[in-house]
Amino acid sequence: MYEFWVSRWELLAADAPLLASALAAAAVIIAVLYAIFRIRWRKVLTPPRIALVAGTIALAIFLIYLTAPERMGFAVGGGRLAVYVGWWGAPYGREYGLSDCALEWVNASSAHVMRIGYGGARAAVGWLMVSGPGVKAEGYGIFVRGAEWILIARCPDGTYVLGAPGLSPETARD
Amino acid sequence: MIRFLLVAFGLPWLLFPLMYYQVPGAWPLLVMFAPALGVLAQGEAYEPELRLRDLVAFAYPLAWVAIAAAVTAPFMAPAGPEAGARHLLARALGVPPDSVPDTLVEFVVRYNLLAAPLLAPVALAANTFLAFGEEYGWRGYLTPRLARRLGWVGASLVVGALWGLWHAPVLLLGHNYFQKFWWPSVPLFTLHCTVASPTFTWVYLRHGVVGAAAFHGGVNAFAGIYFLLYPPEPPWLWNPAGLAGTLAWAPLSLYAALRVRQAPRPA
Repeated sequence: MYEFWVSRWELLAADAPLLASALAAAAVIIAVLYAIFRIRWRKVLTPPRIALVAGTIALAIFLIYLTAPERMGFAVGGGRLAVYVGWWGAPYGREYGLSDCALEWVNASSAHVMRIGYGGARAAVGWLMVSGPGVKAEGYGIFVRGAEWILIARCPDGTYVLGAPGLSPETARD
Repeated sequence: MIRFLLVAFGLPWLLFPLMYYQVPGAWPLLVMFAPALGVLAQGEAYEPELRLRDLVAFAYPLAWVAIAAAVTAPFMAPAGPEAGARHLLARALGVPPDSVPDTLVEFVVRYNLLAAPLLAPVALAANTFLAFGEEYGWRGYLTPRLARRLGWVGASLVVGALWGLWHAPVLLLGHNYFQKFWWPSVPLFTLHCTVASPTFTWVYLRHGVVGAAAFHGGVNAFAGIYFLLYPPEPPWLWNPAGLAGTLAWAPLSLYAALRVRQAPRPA
């Protein structure tokens, strides 16, 4: 039985360097504009107000992650497939018997995963498209950086694209 | 001028490792403000006039895109937005065009075509704002200083060459030509900026720094329209930043050069 779970806060923490770079860039740009337009803007762009704007942006980013479920992931093995993603259109709480789904395994190193949805430093979530030599598939799911295998599960009511470190045909068989 | 050049050119190279290792990252936005930071480091900050009417320059680059499309037309039949988006995505993702899923192509085309009119005001604001960081240095500071000695046309050409070279760090990371560490991108884009530069100077003399920023923002915002007609294959040729786009600047810059040479040199 293989299972992978990740919390929204782990995704946020993984994206922290990117968010920090955006905030650092924004802070420098605001400082440059403040220096250039200091005569007119001195009364408008006071340090507390700049801090307020930066704080609001940070809060807005924080709120985006709140739209994700507390924990998301999937489990496969023991004859069952469970998909608990619940973000960017990917369903939450779908369980299938593995015999009801057609499974295809794709080596991640030979495939490209594209997405319409969330794409961060740790994972891609939403509508995922896999393309590689002899394979072209798409469906909802989650793909985590470091995955060696991609599982494409064609189940009765939808196709799922799932990948995470440690997932392999062997680990899913047990 | 030395401190200006050191900061304007030095900061992008300082950020180069970060831009290379942290993808996606926001550092390229900071790079666009390196020339403005250079002016501040030089201690020659100035306050540009903020006139709403100068933002009209945002629309001028539509003429450039139209000429670029006209330049391409005798050599290639328009392939449509799907082909352009497919090739762009393939280049950006480093996969063969056939490997790009139809769903993704349709999404990109639909999103861009449908959202474009709604996003126009956002594009105007965001692109003008970011381009301001460059224009404050290249047009607002460096061009007039060089024009004292070289005249407006000479200054435009020198600034254009410097401005193109300045893009080297981002070009080597695949900007505009979709290929990392492809060194011909640097001379190609240096030529592009040199040819385009007199038009930028003309806009600057007519609309000031904010107008030049709006114009530059318009170039960045509208260049993609070209891909609705033609795929960037090969990117050094059929691309707004390729030879087609460079050639499209030529008539505009010729007209601009004739106009700006009549302008009095700055004191």
